[in-house]
Amino acid sequence: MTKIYGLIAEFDQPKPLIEAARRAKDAGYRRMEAYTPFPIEDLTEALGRKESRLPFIVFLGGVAGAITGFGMQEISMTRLYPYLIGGKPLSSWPAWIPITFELTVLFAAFTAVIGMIALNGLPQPYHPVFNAAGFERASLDKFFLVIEARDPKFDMVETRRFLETLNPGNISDVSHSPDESASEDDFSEATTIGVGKWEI
Amino acid sequence: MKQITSFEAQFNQTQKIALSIGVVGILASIVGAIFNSEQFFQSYLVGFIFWLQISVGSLFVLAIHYMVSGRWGVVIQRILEAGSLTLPLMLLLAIPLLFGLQTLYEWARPDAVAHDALLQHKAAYLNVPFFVVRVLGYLIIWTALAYLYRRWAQRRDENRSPELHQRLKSFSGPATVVLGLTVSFASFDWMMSLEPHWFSTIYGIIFGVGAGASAFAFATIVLSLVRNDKSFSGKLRPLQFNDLGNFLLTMVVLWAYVELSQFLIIWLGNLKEEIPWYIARQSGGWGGVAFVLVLFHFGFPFLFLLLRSNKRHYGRVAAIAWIIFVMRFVDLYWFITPAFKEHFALHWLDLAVLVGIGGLWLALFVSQLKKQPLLPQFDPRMEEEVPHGQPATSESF
Repeated sequence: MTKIYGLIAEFDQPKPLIEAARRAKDAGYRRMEAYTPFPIEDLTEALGRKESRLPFIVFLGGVAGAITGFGMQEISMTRLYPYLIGGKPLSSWPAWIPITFELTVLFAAFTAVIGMIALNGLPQPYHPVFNAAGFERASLDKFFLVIEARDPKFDMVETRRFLETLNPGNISDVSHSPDESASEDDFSEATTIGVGKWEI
Repeated sequence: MKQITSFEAQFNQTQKIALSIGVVGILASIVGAIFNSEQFFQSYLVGFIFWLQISVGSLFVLAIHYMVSGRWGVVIQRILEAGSLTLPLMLLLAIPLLFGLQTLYEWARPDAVAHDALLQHKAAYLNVPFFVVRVLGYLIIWTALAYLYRRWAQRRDENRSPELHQRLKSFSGPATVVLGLTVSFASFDWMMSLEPHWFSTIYGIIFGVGAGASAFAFATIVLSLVRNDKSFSGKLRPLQFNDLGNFLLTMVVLWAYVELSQFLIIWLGNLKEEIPWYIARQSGGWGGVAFVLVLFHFGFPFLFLLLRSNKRHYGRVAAIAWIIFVMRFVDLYWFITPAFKEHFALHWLDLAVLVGIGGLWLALFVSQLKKQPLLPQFDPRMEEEVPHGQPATSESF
């Protein structure tokens, strides 16, 4: 039981989930994640997420692109292969601007895509949360809040008790591997109904 | 908690103050015109074009917003409408310029044309009667469009009619084409033909982008001033200023892009019929003005608006909008005035005319703005304002 990933609480509506996330944050929990069928704007703030570092990383990527673009032209045109064109000075920097601009955009765009994937922890072929019974409804009609076991404040008994005060539909354990799966009793009924309802 | 107020009293007061400043400015300009008519017409052209680009830029942004939709435009729609409804005044104010054509434009002076083969060649287009017809034509088309937009939007709100909204939407595609062409040609006629030997095909786009930037800057400033109005209650969020900040960012980048496109081609080509335009704008103190433009029409707003925290703060977005607003005047001054003056020197008439026309313009703007609630009463695009699964909350600034 010590190797548990976390506790999952299920809600029927988005608003109780936002409220639950907010109260969990106020109670001191930090290692939390929410799973919903559609994006909910205020959830990010309710979970206490700090602003993403991505914009700053993209900015650095853009600066690197600008330096690369400008530097490549400046060095090649003034030092490596000096060539007089149209009577212009060797360092005709206004002419470097288009390529500097293009490389800024290119580097920033690559940094944005790769940085986004890296910061999201992708690719991730396995995630323990799928071991929770009934979790497939996170992409249908249910809203889940998971408090992870690596949260310093996490305690099997205390956290479960806290989650109960939030009036969720269900609370269950999330184990690290499928075999240790918690008893499916909690969810079996809901799951069957859920699957039956959508299986047309 | 937000303080929610009605701006009726302030509107009336602003209108009165603007009108009196406008009248004083115009009277001063008339006195100046008696003593120095040449300087008067030169100043008048800059002042007129500066306010005109806000009117026509507002109309342009309005048309584009109807075409592409999006939550960003709904909160500034009334401001844009009121801005474009100042066009009848601009139609009136265009008339004094017609008396100064010979003073301003080389191609309007028969003795100059007689000795210039190129001007004779261009005379089929650049002649006084055709010029008068063209500029009055632009203004009449714009005025008609502005009234049409206001009228249809009003009827859409009254009848809560999605069909009328659809009509506005399908009308805006062709309207944008008409606006694009008329705005381009208007800038060729009023501004580019000051130096009739020189031409640039991207000139109209530079002016159009500048006009759009002015409209966004002006609308942002006004929105930040009336943000506590009761019709916005709960619907104006930092997100809207974020959107406007993004648009200002887009406009300054686009402006820099088109300005550089023109500069780069002419500078690299270095041909004797093209390069004098830039030589005139780099020497005699004009180079310093160009430097200010690069810094404050592009560099500083660009870096400042990259930060999301700045764009979510209405005061900071409005401050940047003020900078862009002022820089629009500097840009037009730098485009127009070197055609007359070798050395940079601001004349008092430049400011008198600017303030005079501006006062009248603002008075008319406010009188149009207060006629209707500041937020459209029925707009299908409003639905996008409310995020999923929750009512619109009123975040305080």
